[in-house]
Amino acid sequence: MKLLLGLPRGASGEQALILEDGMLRLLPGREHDADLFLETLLLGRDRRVGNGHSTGEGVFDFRYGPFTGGLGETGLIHLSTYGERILAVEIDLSVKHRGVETSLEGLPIDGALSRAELVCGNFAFAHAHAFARAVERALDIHVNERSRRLSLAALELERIYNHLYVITRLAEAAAQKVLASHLGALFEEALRTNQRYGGSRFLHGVRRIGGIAVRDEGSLEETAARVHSIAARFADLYHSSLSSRNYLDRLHGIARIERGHAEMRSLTGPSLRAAGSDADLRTREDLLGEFRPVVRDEGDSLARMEVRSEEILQSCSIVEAQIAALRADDGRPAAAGSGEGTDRVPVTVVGLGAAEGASGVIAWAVATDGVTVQSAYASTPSLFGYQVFAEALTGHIFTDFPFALDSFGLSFADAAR
Amino acid sequence: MRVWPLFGITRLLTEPRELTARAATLQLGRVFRRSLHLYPIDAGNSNSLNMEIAALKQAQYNLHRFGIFFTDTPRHADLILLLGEPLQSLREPLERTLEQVPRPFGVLWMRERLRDSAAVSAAVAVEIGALVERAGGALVATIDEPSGPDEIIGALRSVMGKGVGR
Repeated sequence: MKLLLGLPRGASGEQALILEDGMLRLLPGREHDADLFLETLLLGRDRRVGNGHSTGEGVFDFRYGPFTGGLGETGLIHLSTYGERILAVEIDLSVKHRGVETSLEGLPIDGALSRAELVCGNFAFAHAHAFARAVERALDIHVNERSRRLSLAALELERIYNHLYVITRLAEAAAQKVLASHLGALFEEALRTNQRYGGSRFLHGVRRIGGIAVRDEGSLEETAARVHSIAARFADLYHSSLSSRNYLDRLHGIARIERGHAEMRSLTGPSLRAAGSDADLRTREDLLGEFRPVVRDEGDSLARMEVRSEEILQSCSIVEAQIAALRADDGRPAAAGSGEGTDRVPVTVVGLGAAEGASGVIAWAVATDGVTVQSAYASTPSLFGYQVFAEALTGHIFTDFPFALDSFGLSFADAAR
Repeated sequence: MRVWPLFGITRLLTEPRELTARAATLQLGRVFRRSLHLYPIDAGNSNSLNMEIAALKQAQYNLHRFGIFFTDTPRHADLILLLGEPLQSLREPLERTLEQVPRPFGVLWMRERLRDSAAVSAAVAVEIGALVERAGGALVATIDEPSGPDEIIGALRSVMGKGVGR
């Protein structure tokens, strides 16, 4: 599978950022197989995505946002409707565009890494990881096995709390108050686990160039114990929730997507895996052994919830396994940052880095001279997710809106950057 | 299969908390001493502050025991939780939203790691103070990078004129 993730501008003009079989590549010009629609989407990614607007007798623009509790964050969605069925969906990303990539230009690499996290606070570790990988590849910096294991665990911790948040919102929307309360409590537990692991509830400032900083050895043991408890409590809740027909009926058949179409739109992550694809960057991680992605075929909100639920259990197992592997190691301290390879290089070099974030592939292309960042380009899963969400929601009624939106686990901050 | 209501009472989730308050907080007045209704506005943060507010609503904190509630509309709010440094594109919608809040009302401003230089951020802070004042509100506190829900609840209790405590 070959996905077009972005059109970064390099020194020699426009390039295509391609993800093929888990490997990122930059191709000169616009040498990609993606259709014109996707290219147009990427060129206008700071403005609007969706399928435009509709006209006709009685059709009006229902403007949802920018400030509304229903979205969970600031965003602006235009729904074309005559009052019942949604005929078209257009999402205005410009209201939350912060120009994070541009603000990195000229910053020292460490400062830029810290600011790259601000693209999306709840995908902060995945952004930092992908950004750091890009720099490490550009400057040929070696990352030791211990740091790689700690990074894998942090990525999974981020996935756990994001998935818990998404499922909590779905349960709230379906008026499953008891389920939502328990899931929400687990979400808070997951944030406290992050705090114990890396000193930040959202894993901010944990990833460094060339390494990772966890708090201390004791924090790893406590993290493993906490994650074990989260897995046991979540499994109980999840299996009980599958017997609630009210809950399942609200999710079944909502915002169904077809795998082929989703791939054409460069969708990645649990939403794509819920439509039958087994694409997951984690399959390429040698430290994860025989990793098998969670896959469902139905492509609806229920399938997306199921994939996220099973991924929580899978992520908990990965965190425990990585910490157990570290325990078996000789207990060397984690490398927090590295001076190796960060001397100024004579020319600007470009590095590419990617991470399997909670809602899909996060990729960075970073040009650096070894001291400062010359330019940076972020490809975020929420951009493609909003496009697919807009198309999938069309034809539904407004009651379905929260089940459709929340099941994709998207963020305006992530898409608008 | 367990019935959900029974599932709910098998475990007490609410915790006694050690509340903290770092930022100087202005008390809103005696009228809000027994209940305070909140409406959060994301002014352009990276989403971690929105997540922090989501965490604040969870059972461990049980906000209702303090008389603190969230509303679905600014027209029912006593206190606006302003999250992040307001983007230029959101200043006008923000001002129009604040005009909808019944007076007296307060604004508790939470900021994450600053996007801009300290000088630019200081200028933005002056602008936001003026914007809140124009709308008839009072900026009760500014919390930079809140450490977690305990600190936010501590600030909210101070706004209500109550001790931080547990």
